[in-house]
Amino acid sequence: MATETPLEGDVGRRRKQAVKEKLLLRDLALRHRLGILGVGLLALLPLLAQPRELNQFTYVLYLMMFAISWDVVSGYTGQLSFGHAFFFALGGYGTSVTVNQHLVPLLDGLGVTLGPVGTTVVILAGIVGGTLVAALGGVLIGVPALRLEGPYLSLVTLIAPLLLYQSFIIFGEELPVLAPNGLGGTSGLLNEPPSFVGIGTNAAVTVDQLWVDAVARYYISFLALLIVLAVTYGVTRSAAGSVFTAIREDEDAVQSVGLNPAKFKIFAFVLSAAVGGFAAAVWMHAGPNAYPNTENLFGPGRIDLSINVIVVAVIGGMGTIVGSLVGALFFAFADSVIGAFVPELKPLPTFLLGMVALTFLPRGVVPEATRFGRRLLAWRRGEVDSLVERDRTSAAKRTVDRYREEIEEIIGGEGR
Amino acid sequence: MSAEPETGARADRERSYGPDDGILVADDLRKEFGGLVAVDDLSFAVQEQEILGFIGPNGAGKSTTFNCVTGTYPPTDGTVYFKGEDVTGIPAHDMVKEGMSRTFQEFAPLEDRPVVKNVELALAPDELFTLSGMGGETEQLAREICRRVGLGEVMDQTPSELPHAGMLKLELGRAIATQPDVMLVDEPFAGLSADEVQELTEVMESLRQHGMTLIVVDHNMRGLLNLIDRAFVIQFGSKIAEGTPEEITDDPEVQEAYLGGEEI
Ligand SMILES: Nc1ncnc2c1ncn2[C@@H]1O[C@H](COP(=O)(O)OP(=O)(O)O)[C@@H](O)[C@H]1O
Ligand SMILES: [Mg+2]
Repeated sequence: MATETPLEGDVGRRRKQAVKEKLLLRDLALRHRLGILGVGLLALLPLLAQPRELNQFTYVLYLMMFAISWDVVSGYTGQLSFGHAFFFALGGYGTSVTVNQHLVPLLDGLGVTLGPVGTTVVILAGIVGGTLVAALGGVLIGVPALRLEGPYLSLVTLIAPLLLYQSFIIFGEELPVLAPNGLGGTSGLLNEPPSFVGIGTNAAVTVDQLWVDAVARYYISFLALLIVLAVTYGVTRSAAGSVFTAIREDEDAVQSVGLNPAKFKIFAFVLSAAVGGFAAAVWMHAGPNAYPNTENLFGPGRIDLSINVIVVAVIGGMGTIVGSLVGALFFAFADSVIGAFVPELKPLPTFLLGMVALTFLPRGVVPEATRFGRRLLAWRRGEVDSLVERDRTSAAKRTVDRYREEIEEIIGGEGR
Repeated sequence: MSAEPETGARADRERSYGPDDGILVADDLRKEFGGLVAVDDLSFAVQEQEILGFIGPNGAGKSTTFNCVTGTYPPTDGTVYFKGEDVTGIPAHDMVKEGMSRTFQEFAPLEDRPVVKNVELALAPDELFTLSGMGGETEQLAREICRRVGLGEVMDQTPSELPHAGMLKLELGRAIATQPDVMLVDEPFAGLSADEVQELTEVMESLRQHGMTLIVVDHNMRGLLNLIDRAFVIQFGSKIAEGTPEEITDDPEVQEAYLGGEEI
């Protein structure tokens, strides 16, 4: 190499050491401690809630995962997706079809009776299948994303779930080879996939009390959330994360330092799709109201869920991962308040909430709170705050700005 | 094109180069934009650890030549050899991995992160799953590079806070961070004061001492005299002269090219 580096030798070893130290949570920043505290509180929630409330809250965990899925690709790389339900539906239907139309009939044919362990294994295989199907969907959207400008890509993401929806109807009775018993049309797959834990017979572990069922579902879902957090945190906090955000800023700059933007873009799509598909797949076996139907996986109006995850991620803070957790809490709270008072207006008020957040807290709650916290700490130390936090425009604003530029380019805006 | 027998005029104009004539070789490089010939069958070879001045009036095709060499645009015709291999038309990011990096005339720093993080991006491996960035050692290296190019005091600022010279240093720092063997520097001295030119000259000289090969573009030779070993002058996409800085300034064709304009 032409340039000498001041870091010869066992960089790899030191790197592992540093990661280990981080994992031991030594000298962690305040916001990280608060984050861990928050996740800890989530873990304790079942101690406080009634079964019915708990079930509602379990759904919020899925909302968190769905929003994280959106954030990975849209929040980090700035490629706005308006149809993330595409991936959720692939994951949810993927596992249901894998289990009920392939694995169970196959094992039945072989004369195998499944005990608790066997059923669990079948369910896990289904989740893997659903995740893979969704990841494949990620490739399907990610590859055109390489050639399309932002607004055109958004159009593709908008149409993809609608096409999928239509295909559920077209192949309602039968999809040769892939889904021999069909995709169930608008009413969804009536044949529910088995649960990990449930009250009826269609479960790996049968329980007889409502609250045990609710608590078990909560913790399985919570475990899924931890997995999603670990994976997405790992990727976005590694160098790949800074490449993602650099793509959001300027693809040419990324290319000019020897990084292949195409590779990272596809990866972001596949990771996002896999995360969303995984969450939906787990939902089908552990969530509350776990029916594989279009209303659940696309939302009642076909696009509601896709829009909701955007609202959640934007409220919490785009490009942060943890923002999705906080955003989902806000969203669920607002949603239940609205549901209690003016249910007929749904889902408009929650969309409105997203717009309000964009206007007044464009960075989102988490980055805004971090900034505030830093100022406070600096003030307590007696520092002048200008040095502590420089005003950097938010991910949301930068993404929207770039998007507007691209639209202007497409329609030949005179402003250029 | 290359198979065609050499006519007198062509043999007179340029000689053909092969892959081993230098660390970076362009042979009959051509770039057309519609009807406009921006680079007109240009051939040149750069030797290892050389500092070559690439000079020509505005619009002569210098940046376009760079864009074709580094894979930003595919050339219309001709061949680029790098380290003895044909690298014509490979993507820009692969070219960087081969060991060639460049700076841009129009800066495009990432505004969402501080200067040091801009440099750090250039240190990121082109891999999807990596522990890199977790341990903080790339940041340490990025800081070291910032110090070397004279950004030590300002590396925690955002690029928009940098003065013009600072932006240039950032471009240089990002290019250096990719650990290139050959670096193409596009118009580094435009708009700099004499002191700043001197500072950058020293940075580039020290890079050469560490084994790097440099091509420095400028529209005249003023800032380059102390830096370059050899100059290569183009106009309308073709070579008009080649030689030591002294030979060039005395060359009648060069003087004519600059007639009425600025001094060479
Ligand atoms: N992308 C492009 N499309 C069309 N014409 C271009 C493009 N880039 C450069 N040119 C033209 O090619 C010629 C050479 O430009 P350039 O290489 O930028 O010159 P220099 O860097 O020597 O000032 C100019 O006439 C310029 O207008
Ligand atoms: Mg130029």
